[in-house]
Amino acid sequence: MSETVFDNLRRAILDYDGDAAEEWARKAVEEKLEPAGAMEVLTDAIRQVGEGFAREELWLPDLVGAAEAFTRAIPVLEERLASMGRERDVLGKVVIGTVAADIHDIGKNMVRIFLTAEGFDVHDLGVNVAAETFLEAVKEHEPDILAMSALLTLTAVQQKAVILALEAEGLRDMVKVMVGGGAVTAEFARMVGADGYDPTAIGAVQVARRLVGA
Amino acid sequence: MTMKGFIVRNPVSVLSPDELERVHGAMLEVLRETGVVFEHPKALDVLADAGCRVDREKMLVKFPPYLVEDSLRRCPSRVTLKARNPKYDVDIGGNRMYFCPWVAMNLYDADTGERRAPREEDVLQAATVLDYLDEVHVYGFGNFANVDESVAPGLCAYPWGMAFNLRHTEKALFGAAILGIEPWIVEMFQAAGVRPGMLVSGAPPLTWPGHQLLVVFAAAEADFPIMPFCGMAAGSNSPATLAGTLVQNYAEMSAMITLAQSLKPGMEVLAGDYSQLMGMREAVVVQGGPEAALLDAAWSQIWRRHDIPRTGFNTRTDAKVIDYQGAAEKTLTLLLSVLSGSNKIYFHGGVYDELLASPVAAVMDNDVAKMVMRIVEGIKVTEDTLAVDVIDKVGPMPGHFLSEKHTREWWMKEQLLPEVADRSSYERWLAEGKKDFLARAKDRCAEIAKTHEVPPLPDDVDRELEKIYRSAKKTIQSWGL
Repeated sequence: MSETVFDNLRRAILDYDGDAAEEWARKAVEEKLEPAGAMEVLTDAIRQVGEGFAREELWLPDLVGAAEAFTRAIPVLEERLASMGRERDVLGKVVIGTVAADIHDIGKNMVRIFLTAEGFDVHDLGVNVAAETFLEAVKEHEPDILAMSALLTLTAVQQKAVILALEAEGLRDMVKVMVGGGAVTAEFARMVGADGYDPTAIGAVQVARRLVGA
Repeated sequence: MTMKGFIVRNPVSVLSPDELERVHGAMLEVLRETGVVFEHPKALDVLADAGCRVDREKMLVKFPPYLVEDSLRRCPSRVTLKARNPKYDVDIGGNRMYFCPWVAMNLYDADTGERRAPREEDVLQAATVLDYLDEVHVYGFGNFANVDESVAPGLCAYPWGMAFNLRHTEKALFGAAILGIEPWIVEMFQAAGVRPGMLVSGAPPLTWPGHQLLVVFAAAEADFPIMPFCGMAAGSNSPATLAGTLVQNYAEMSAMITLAQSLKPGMEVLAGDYSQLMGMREAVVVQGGPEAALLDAAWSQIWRRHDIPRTGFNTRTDAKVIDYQGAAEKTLTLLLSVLSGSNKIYFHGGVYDELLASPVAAVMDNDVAKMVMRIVEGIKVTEDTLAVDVIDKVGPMPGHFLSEKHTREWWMKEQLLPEVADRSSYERWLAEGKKDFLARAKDRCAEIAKTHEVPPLPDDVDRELEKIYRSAKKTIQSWGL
């Protein structure tokens, strides 16, 4: 039985079908299948899509479609794990958001989805996030990584403001900072004192892996 | 099956209906009053029999308008060519459009920026690349009409090149001959079992040279279509005005069509044009730019009126290197040429007019051809593409379309994927060595030349071509050419 459910779960990711992914995750829970096994199937499927993307056979909509389907199944399995008194194995914890005065969130969402699919536990603060909100989230979640997005040239400097605020509060050494977004360049990332940067959402995954030493 | 090419619907016009009518009337007047010289007695006989007034001493033919109108009406609306491989057969006419490579005498060496006579390996590289490129639908002549003297001396470059093209592309071909070498050229095509078009070059103002008429007679005999054209340089061999250049060249071409239809009713003609200006400082022809683009579009309109297929050599540039001027001038004319409904456009690989060509440029041009044709394809409007359902499903932020099935279904149909042009991020571009369009095209060109293989001709055909070439070479050299 587990084979059929797991096969369907895999198929849902490869078909980029979020509804099916959620449905087959529930089925796995109903049938009391091992949640870690289901997670492995999901991770394996997402890796397969990632490899297709790396070979340039698949494209961004495929990757995002698969990753989003993945993020639909995960909470169902996490809930099951919690009811068993267990937690999902993660590569690290990430707090992510788009800086104040900027409401562009597609890039940020893609990074969130890709990081989740890669095995990170991601807390998304949304868009137009004030510096103090980032600070509170760092204190509350104690993430390994704080990831900030800014699409506009005018708002990119907010990333600097958040990093200064982290320094002022004595939190800077507790967390790695990665920045990204249309207005950000490698030079800018260095200037604001970020630990990691990549121009693409998919590249951000490797940056995050490097920052947590995975 | 024939090559599909592209379909151009609703072609644009640059002349009003009234202006088009006036150009037509002026053309008939020139043919009736001034006439055209045909430098061959057989042509004079044929046209006299058809009802023209012929002055044998001056070889001058004056045309009654009814005969010209009748010949334009009787001229077939399609030109069909048979390639070595039937999948490359072409059917030129109507609203169908094909791209073909530019032809030049010299290679633009993209590594050194110098011009030089192409060596055999250069011609081979160009042929291989042109055979590979998907938007090269039919061969004009290959990229080169010339080769280094050590390979084929003097006029031998012609038969050598024809045999070479037959060996190194499966696509449909055009051939050319001058000064009486047409028997060998025709024989080569017949040996390979293909049906090419034959270029026939006029000598403006108002003259068709005898040796080019020999090509017309040989083509009629072999049942090959012809592609007559005249190289205009407005202000020197045609009037300085664009309209006057149209009138004169229209007269020259209509005179040739009248000869063709009188010689062999139903002879297929692809009307060509080579519209340039005279440079009034150095007496060199001016190639590219808005004037050529306008004339090109006018020719599309003129020949569409008669439902006669048309080709133009007008996507030219005066730039001597692969640069911004070249790209701008070529693309400017290309876009208008396509939008005006040309049936076949000489485009890939041209650098500086007939003087320079480059397979690297051909690789770049292939991307540009795709861009222009994406414009022609237009915006598809259907229930599905209007996307109201998916807009409703995604809603305002934080909704996005990237993971929608609709996106996966449609994006690649809507978004062009250039093969060489750079659409990467700045960082990726840095990481990949800061390559510009030219550098990327050089890489791609080298890769294609290394990996693409053209199936060889059957041994017996190959041997036959060699035999014909040797015979041609012997005669040509005995003529001292």
